[in-house]
Amino acid sequence: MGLFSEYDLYGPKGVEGGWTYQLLTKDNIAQISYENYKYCSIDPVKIFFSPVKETVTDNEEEGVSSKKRVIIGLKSCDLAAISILDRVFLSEDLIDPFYKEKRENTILISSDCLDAKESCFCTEVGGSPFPEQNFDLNLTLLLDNEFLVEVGSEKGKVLIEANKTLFSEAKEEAVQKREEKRKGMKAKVKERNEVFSHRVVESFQDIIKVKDDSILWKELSEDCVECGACTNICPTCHCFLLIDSIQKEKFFKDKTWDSCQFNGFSRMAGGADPHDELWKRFRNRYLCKYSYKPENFGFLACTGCGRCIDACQGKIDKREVLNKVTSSQ
Amino acid sequence: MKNPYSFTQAKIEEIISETPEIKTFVLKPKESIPFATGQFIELTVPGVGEAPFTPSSSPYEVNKIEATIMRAGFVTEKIHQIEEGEIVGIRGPYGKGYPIEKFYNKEVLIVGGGVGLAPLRSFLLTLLHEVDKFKRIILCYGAKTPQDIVYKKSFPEWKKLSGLEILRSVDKADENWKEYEGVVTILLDEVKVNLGESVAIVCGPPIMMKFATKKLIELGHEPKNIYLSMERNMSCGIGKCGHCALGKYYVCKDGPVFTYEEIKDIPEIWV
Repeated sequence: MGLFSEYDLYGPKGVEGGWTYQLLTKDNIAQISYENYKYCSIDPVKIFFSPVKETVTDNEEEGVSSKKRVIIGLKSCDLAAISILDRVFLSEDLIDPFYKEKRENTILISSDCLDAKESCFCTEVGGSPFPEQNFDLNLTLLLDNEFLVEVGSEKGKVLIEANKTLFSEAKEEAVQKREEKRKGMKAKVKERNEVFSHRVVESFQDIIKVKDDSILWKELSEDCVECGACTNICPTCHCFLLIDSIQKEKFFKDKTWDSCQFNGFSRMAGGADPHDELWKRFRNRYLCKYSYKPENFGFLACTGCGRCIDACQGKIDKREVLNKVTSSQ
Repeated sequence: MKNPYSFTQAKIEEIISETPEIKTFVLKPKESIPFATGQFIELTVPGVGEAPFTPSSSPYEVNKIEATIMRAGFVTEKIHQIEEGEIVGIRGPYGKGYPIEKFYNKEVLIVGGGVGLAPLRSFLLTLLHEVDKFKRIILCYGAKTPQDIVYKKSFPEWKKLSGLEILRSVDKADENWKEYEGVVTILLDEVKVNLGESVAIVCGPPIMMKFATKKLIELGHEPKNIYLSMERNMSCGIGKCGHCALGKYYVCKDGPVFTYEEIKDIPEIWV
């Protein structure tokens, strides 16, 4: 394929505990595991658009530019996260040009989930284990080496047109087969989550708003060690810190990931801090995802990817927290 | 596309010492930075960091911006060490200012505490620019001691103006003080405004804002007519970095001016 010359290609590579996105080369492309790339990667999609650290100072020599990229295999929970990131970084007249550039220069090829991990709960937050939005092309594995491809955008269409020989018209039974597979996978995720009596999330928004229960939140946050893993690994968490520095008489401003779970995140000059206690910071993460963002954007800032559950050092299961908050009402 | 993280260079033209802890910096930006009163800027000490300030000068003065800054943290400490002639950076303006037109034909009660008079000075100068449009302008200002009063040179001039009433209090008076003694809220008992026809504009330290708002409510002011200039840890200025969250709002883009009605149910607003 001619893609290598035009694009940086990223695909999922199996590692201990899951998959991570790697830059594909002609040498390693064979090791990339598409056919057993079952559920979301360890790294969240935001690493491609809002990297851990990037310099945002004007740089006359380089400007704001990035090489065109294709990301292959993305799962539905990460695509859903892009809706949040877009609303944050591309909103109205307050556009972040660094995000915009990367977003526009990236082609997203997604894929249906082939399995669910213990912590997956996309179905409980309005999602599905198969992509329905934000993809340029989506791949559904039907048989070995046989994929049903859905075109999601003009960018995707162009890509197909340019590589026509690789594709043929989909047959009706292939579409049927995809629906069956999808139904099965959705049922599986739902079943995984039956133990959690989610009084789903629309009601959570109302409940959490009227609730100012410090005792409950203190109890819920007891095992939190403030490591920030949940926010770092979250595909929708977008908060960052701006750091100024001087290097060789040039001024730099770097944008690095930050976490509302860290002490001092909201501290002002003079020392006042609205989130001066752990339970307030812990609560903020839930309020942001299930109340503030839905109020502002009309959808949750949680896609049910379950990464925060897997990453938590204190073994806090977000689904249990949601349950306790809604059931203590 | 303009890079929202880059700043315009500005020269420090003059530094006015207001109190031992507060200085006003007169900044001359390379390109003029038009702003609406109540909006804020990020002032960058290159290589050190930035901090948010609402200009204290009039938006009608297009070639310079004044910022009145209290020494309170890492960046402001550095700013206080700056000398006249040095170069700093300005990003912005950010956020929404005061909806001045809504105040036309009303009695405007301004309540300020300490360095909180900085944005209110800009606001006041904006009103004075078209003073006939307002029924009354009343400034209630409180400081800890007479020494802690900012804009000491401006007050004698302001007192001469016909469209402006001024009441001042200090928590602790000295022998020369002839005005009110006590917290700023005592001044509100002295001012009789027409409640249906008035707005109150409040800015100051959180504790002062809390009690001033409480007092205004007690006196019958409606939450939708009380305008608060909120302080949070504004950093990016464009609603993305998350540091200035106030409930569902980001103070940097949705504020810093809010009505009490908009934010009264948010926990920890007076921090």
